[in-house]
Amino acid sequence: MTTKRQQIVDAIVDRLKTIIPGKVFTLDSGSYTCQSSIIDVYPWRKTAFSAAELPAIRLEDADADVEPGASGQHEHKLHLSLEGAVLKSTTAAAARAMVSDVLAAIGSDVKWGGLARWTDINSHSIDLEQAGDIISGFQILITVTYRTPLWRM
Amino acid sequence: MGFDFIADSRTIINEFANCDVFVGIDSVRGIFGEPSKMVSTFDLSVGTTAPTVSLEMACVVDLGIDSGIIVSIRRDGMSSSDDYAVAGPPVHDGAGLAVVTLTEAP
Repeated sequence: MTTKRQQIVDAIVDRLKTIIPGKVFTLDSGSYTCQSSIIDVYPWRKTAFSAAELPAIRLEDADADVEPGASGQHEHKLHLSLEGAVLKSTTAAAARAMVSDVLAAIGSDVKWGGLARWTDINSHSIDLEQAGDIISGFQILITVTYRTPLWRM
Repeated sequence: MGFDFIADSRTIINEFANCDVFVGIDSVRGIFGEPSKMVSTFDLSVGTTAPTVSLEMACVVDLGIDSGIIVSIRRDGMSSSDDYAVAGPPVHDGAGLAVVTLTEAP
């Protein structure tokens, strides 16, 4: 049986994969048009990326805090880290654009099709590394709150 | 018998040079290498390269090669050149050669 946690991670991966230039997300504040493209999204990828695989996002759902919820349920606060990298960006502007696009993708439905009660952004950060290529990266930390029957995840 | 660093480094360059290094219209011969390197942003690792070019120290001084300078490198057998930025101060090897670390030109 697929857990709700698995369904939420799948929904996040599927949503992030839709980010392409021109993609429009509808937010409470109005429509948002994406600037970035993402080749793929990789849950829990530990191996290094090649330049040809960028821009890419890796995702980890390591920890969840659990509390008693209403009506005999457990409320889970699932903490996720979304990290991405862009190649050959001469400034960090590409990373900022990707952060903006990812936030819009999340914000277009913070309940993930009814799976979750809410999604919070905890932080967003960017970084730039330079060797033979310039690689700009980002990290977004979010928390997805959802409820399950007791002793289910 | 003592070392003649200038003559020895020139011999090494003459023997192993595999590229022309241009700064503006001036050029010298150099030894280009492009070993792989792993860089990380947050927990995400990306395989890239760490290109270097070795030159006679005297040429580095003559051409004014230092951090931030843009150099063009045309590898032997190639018809076009690639631009790189010098990533840091040239490192003298103590024997007449300098290793210049390169990065993607802005």
